[in-house]
Amino acid sequence: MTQLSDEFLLAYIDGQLERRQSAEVSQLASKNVEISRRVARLKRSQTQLIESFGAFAREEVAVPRSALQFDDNEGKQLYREKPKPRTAAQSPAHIEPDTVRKMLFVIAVFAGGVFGGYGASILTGQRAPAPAKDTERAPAAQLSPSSWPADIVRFHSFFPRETLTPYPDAIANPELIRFQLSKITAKALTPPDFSRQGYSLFRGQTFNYRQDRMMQLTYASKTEPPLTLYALPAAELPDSPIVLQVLGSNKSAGWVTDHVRFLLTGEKNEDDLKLLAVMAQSQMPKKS
Amino acid sequence: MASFGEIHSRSRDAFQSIIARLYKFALVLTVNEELARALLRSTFKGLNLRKDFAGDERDHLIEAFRRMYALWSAKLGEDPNVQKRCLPEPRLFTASFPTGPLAGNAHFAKFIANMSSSQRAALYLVYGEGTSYDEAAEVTALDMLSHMKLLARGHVALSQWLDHRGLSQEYDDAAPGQERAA
Repeated sequence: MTQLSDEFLLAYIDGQLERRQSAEVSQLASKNVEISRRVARLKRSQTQLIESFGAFAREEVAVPRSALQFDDNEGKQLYREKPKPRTAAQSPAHIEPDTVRKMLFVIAVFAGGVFGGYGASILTGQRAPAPAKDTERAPAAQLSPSSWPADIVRFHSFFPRETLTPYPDAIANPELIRFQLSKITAKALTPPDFSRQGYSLFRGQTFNYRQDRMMQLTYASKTEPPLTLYALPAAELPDSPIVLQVLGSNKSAGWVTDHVRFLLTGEKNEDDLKLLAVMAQSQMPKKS
Repeated sequence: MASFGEIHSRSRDAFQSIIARLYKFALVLTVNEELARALLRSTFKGLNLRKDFAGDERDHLIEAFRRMYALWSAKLGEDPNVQKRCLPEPRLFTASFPTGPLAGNAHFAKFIANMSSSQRAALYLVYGEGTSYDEAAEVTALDMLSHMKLLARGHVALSQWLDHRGLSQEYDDAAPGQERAA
């Protein structure tokens, strides 16, 4: 963990890390001179920024009255498109009688259509009664919470394999990925390590899933197709064991631990996928 | 129980406070009074429908910041030369940095004014308004990692500026141990 990025150290001094992560960085900074020096440097700029912008934020500022006057003719209208100057032919004083006749004709046709249609609906008489509503039908908008693995597998199917494969210059910053994972799941989680299986974590991305944020962790291998792990909060779901699911050509293993939903997917056979899921689960134990 | 007059007054105070903070954010974004006024007007028009400012002031404020930032970004997108016509006015910051060894330092105000507006906004939201990283990222419509990179680059630039001016040591002596809870 000695390769800490400036971003991660900044999150530390700004108090944005989980307590456990923060304690780890404190401990590391006390032992490592280089990290301690970088932290001190960031604290110095942080102090300056808090003083400067804090003073600016606290300062009494009189809002100019003109800032709240909505006079369309006032000064420069910086946030509106300037009206294009009318040409002489477009000026109201120069409207041709022929144009007026055309406008009246269009209005008459429109009014005829409206009233004609209404009259026709009256003449056609009573409408046939509508079929009775099917009260047994489940409301379509209510999806059961258990459908989340299928949702995510469907979402995952939109990622072609080449987009999950790292390019040579891909930047993997495990600390930032870890920070983001902890923010999203509200737990001090570390992405699982599959290096013994030949996979290395190379990218973390965040997405929206309904009301929640979801983290997508992609693992690359030199010989195998990529693996993808999704993690998202599950405030109201109880813990559940690993469940394998096959949706089209996608296989996945999903489970819930400590109010976090996980779904591991990749082009693997079911046994291998389950084994990897068990390994991931064992590396992210439930807090007592 | 609060009377109608008290509620009305509280609502008006909250509203006034939001307007002042929005105006300052507009100044931070534009570094130009004329642009800031116009930006505030445009933002305020969008917010005018929200009458109950006493409800959850924080949410209203973040939403207002977000709209203002989006408006400014859209304006810069459609008219990149807007800041060439309305030049940045660092003096807006000079008077507002009253404490510390850099108080009234015109060069420092110029340094802040020369930052990109997105970087200035990110730094102001976190260190001026005290928003969380999440809130600031929401305002600037950036994902968290991009937002953190923006902040880190601002820090690095400031550190280099302080070093270049030989102010690092002076600052260390003058402002000991002020830090946020880590």
